[in-house]
Amino acid sequence: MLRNKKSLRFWLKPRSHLGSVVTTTMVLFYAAALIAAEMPTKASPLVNSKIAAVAGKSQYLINCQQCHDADGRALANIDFIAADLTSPDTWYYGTTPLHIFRSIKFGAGLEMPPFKDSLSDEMIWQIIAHVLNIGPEENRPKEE
Amino acid sequence: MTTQQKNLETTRVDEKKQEEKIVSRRNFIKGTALAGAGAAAILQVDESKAHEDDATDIRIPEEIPRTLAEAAKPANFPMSGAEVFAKFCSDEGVAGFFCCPGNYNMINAIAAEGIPSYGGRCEGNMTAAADGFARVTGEIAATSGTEGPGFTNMIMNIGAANSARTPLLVIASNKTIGEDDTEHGIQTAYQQVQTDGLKKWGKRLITPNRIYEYAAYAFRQLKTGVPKPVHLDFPGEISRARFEEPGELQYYYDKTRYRTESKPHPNPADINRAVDMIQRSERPMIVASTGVFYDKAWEALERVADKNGIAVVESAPQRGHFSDGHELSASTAFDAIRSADLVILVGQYCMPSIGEFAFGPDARWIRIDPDATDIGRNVPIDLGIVSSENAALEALAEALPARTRQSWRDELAAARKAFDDQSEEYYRLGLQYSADTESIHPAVIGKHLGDFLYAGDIDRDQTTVVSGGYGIGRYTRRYLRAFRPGQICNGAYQYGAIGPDVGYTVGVGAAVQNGVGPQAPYKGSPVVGVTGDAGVAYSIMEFETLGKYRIPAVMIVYNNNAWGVWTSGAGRGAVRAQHMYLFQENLRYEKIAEALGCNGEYVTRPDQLTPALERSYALAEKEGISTLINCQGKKEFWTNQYPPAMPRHFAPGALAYYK
Repeated sequence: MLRNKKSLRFWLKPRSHLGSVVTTTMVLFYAAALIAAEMPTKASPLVNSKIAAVAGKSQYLINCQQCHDADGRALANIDFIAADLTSPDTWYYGTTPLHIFRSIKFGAGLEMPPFKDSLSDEMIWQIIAHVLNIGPEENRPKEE
Repeated sequence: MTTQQKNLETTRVDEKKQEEKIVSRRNFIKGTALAGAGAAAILQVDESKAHEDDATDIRIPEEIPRTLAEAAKPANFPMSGAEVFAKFCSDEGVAGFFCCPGNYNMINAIAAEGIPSYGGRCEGNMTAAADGFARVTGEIAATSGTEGPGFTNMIMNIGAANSARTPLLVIASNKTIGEDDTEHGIQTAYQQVQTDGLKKWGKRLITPNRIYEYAAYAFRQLKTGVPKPVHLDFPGEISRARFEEPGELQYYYDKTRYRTESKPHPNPADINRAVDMIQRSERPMIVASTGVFYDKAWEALERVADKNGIAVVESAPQRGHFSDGHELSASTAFDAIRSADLVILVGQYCMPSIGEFAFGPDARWIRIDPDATDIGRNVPIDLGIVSSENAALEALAEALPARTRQSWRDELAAARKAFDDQSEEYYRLGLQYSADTESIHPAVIGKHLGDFLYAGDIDRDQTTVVSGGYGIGRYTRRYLRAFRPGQICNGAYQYGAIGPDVGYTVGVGAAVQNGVGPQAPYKGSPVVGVTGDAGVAYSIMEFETLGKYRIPAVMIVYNNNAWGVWTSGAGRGAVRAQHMYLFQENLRYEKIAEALGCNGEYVTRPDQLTPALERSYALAEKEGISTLINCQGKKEFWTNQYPPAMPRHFAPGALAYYK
């Protein structure tokens, strides 16, 4: 998770206001380029698999429940306002499997950390299957 | 004469020396400049000079050391109700008392009995002090407040003590029975309903001659089973009642007759089953929690672990009943916690639910607890054993065969190393972030504090630490260690109250000052506390209490100009919200400590911290003067801009669970 940060930190170093604007723009560009290079172009079939959802639940409990709660609703999180994973209509960073993949792998907002160094892509797709499985009926995995 | 009295008598006798000790406004300006605290502080000298002529030295009035040095005067018949109760507390071994004025008859009677007594600046903080005292001594501590307002100030920290399962005796005065419901005068409040859900037992005393009887009720609750706060409120008719001789009191028996020291022992069949499960396990792990400490079961725990190669992780409001230096310690071995195939919960009074512990879904569970009604709650068990912790561990130590489990030991060692390596990585990043932002990152604070306490000239067992704070705690807990019972008081344990940390430090400092329980070998040593800028504001006035009693403490305040939850007011569509989460920047909390008769340090760079710790610790050790070290950070360290931001996995047991 912490590799390849040296150059990023250079761009984050505070400077003048104008400099900050330029820096922020460049950081965003830099970050976007990094993400684009590692993002898949389409969702894995695992997101439709009930078996993947079961495996994803274990990974979810280890990695996600402490912010989003065991049921995904994040009602009990006192640290910050985490997303209610059962209500995609309240999400800020997209609702498709690819959007969820991006949020898990690269982080989202101020608080959601990136998991790209601690979870494999397969694990992330399994977690997505679980997240979809606790959400609206129409999005849940259907394949055995 | 207690240590507390001796310390203060010394300061009274040597007036000249005392003058040198007193931290005047002149001294703090000079001290701040000498400490290299930065241009801002130095520039203020001229401005402050304008007031110097008016400045009066802060001093301890002679009445304080004089009255502390007075001999105890235990009560005897004829006695008031307050004296009967105070004598009862003394006979039961109440080891520390923390209060604010009010409930006058009672607090005076308790002081007269010779119980070490401390008066502070807010009843809530004094309640935290009593809680902290109990957490690191294992002994009952008492706290008092007056009537309605004083009592309601206590409630947050009664709640914290309840979550921590602390044997805390809450005693408060409460108007009169004769004027109940009239709102006559001031300060009327119904107390008992306000502690519903926050106590083990409580009672408003209404019959004067039953005061001794109800004291026995209270101590049966405090000294048996799972402890929690016990709350008694005393109307004037009770505390001021007069008793000429014992026959006027109901149930006036010696403590050997109104309660028993007997404790539940395990069923031998349950122990046999536990042994069978442990023998079938490849990677067994004991969770050593609150009950291990209060039952003083740490020696039996070590025997069990050593004999059968069982790993031990701590999860409690206090740490050290299984040394972090032990080869079988899993308190910093996250990966091994996930790997354990058998979990043995011993005295886990505040019981996490599924998912809160980091154990794997296939682990089997044994729970040992003196309270059968709690076994099976939250986590489904494979075996429940009703027993005192010490008795069960003694039985297991006897029944278990010797076993090495070398591969498990190797796995534990590897997991600890992985954790330490990660902490080092955080430190390296923290140094870089600090340099980039001209401030001090919390990982740097944790690392430098850990090295100072455990890798320098100080005996690693010596310093008792209040590990508090919110965000800062996520880092410092990675670097703090406990090597003997009661060495760490886990501030936030499960209630998560922001604010009691300076109060805890008063109580923990008093415990060490008096050498109570496991603190005896370190009597008089400085204590160290960690908190944040949000938390310190609730209780910073207790620096006056630290100063007044010359309790030697070093308090680190991580100052990031915001509540730890500030990101909730930023982003995600928040509008007009951010201001509610932020403070003015670069506030100088250390100057408040200086203004309250203590010492202050301001740290804005990593290289300043260890020298500040060295100066502060030496000042505390040699002169009993406490220091607040204000460490200037950045709120942005909690965001993904500075990974790992606010780590979610910091140490098992820092709250009730691994988070």
